[in-house]
Amino acid sequence: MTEKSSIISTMTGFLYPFIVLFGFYIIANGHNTPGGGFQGGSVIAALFIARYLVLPVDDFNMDTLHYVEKAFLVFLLLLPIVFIFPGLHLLYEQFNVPYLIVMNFLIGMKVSLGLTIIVFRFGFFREG
Amino acid sequence: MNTIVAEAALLLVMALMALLTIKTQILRMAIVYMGIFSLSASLVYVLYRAPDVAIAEAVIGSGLVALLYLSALKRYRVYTIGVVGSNMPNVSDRHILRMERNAVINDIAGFCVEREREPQTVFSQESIDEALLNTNYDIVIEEYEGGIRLYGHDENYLVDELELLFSIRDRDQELEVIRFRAGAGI
Repeated sequence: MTEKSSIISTMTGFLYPFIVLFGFYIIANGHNTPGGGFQGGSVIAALFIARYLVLPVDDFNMDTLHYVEKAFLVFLLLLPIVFIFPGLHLLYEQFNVPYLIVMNFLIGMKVSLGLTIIVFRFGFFREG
Repeated sequence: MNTIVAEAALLLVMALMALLTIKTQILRMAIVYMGIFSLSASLVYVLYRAPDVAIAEAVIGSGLVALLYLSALKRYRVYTIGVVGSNMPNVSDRHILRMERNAVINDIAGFCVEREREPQTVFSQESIDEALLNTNYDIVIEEYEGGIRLYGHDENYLVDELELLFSIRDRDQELEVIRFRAGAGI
């Protein structure tokens, strides 16, 4: 993992857009096809894992990642409170599918950030 | 019919990979086998009509977990140094203390720490032939009157670097490096 391999870096660079596309596809179609927020989020997290394999540098600001992840958690709790609890999902049934897509998107972002944080914490762990 | 054959083949591959994961001597290979195990498990989930679980298993089982194990392995690799005293029939505490102060053993241990390996020194009363057959040792050190012999596996690339290190550094003891092939003796 310490040696640089041009095969792996070239192939990973080639695969980057497809990983992102596949992840967002899984999230966006999660409400009526296999997949969903968690699966799509872990596919997007695989992007950062691949980046770690190619280039193990610690140039992410971990605090920012933490804050963004917590913000997604807050939105994740707020959206059902705003939409489901007042009974809006019965009143405006045409918004149910967009609601599911937005929820899946929030879950996907939260999961991908969480898994990325776990991997980076583990990969760049320093003793002492 | 085809589904049954594919399912049986995948389950067999899973069992084989699980066995290989336990049996292999090289930990890095065990991680690779575990990744293949996860991938076949995710294909089995597809056959069982659970594509949701299959996606999660493929990404997490063979991507994330493999990476976590690889970084853990990189950090804590135990390097076992076997010390065999052929002229010492009884290994006593005094003997071990004397050997632990030995410059060569300290040099090797420091070298292991530099290369992110955790050195572990094992003193034993085995004869040198028994120690070389014992696959748990990465390096075997034999002490004799006025000198030290260092036995390393010929695929062990650290031995080359150790030999280079000791050829540069001054030392008061005679030291020779001997390569052996696994299973074939010296």
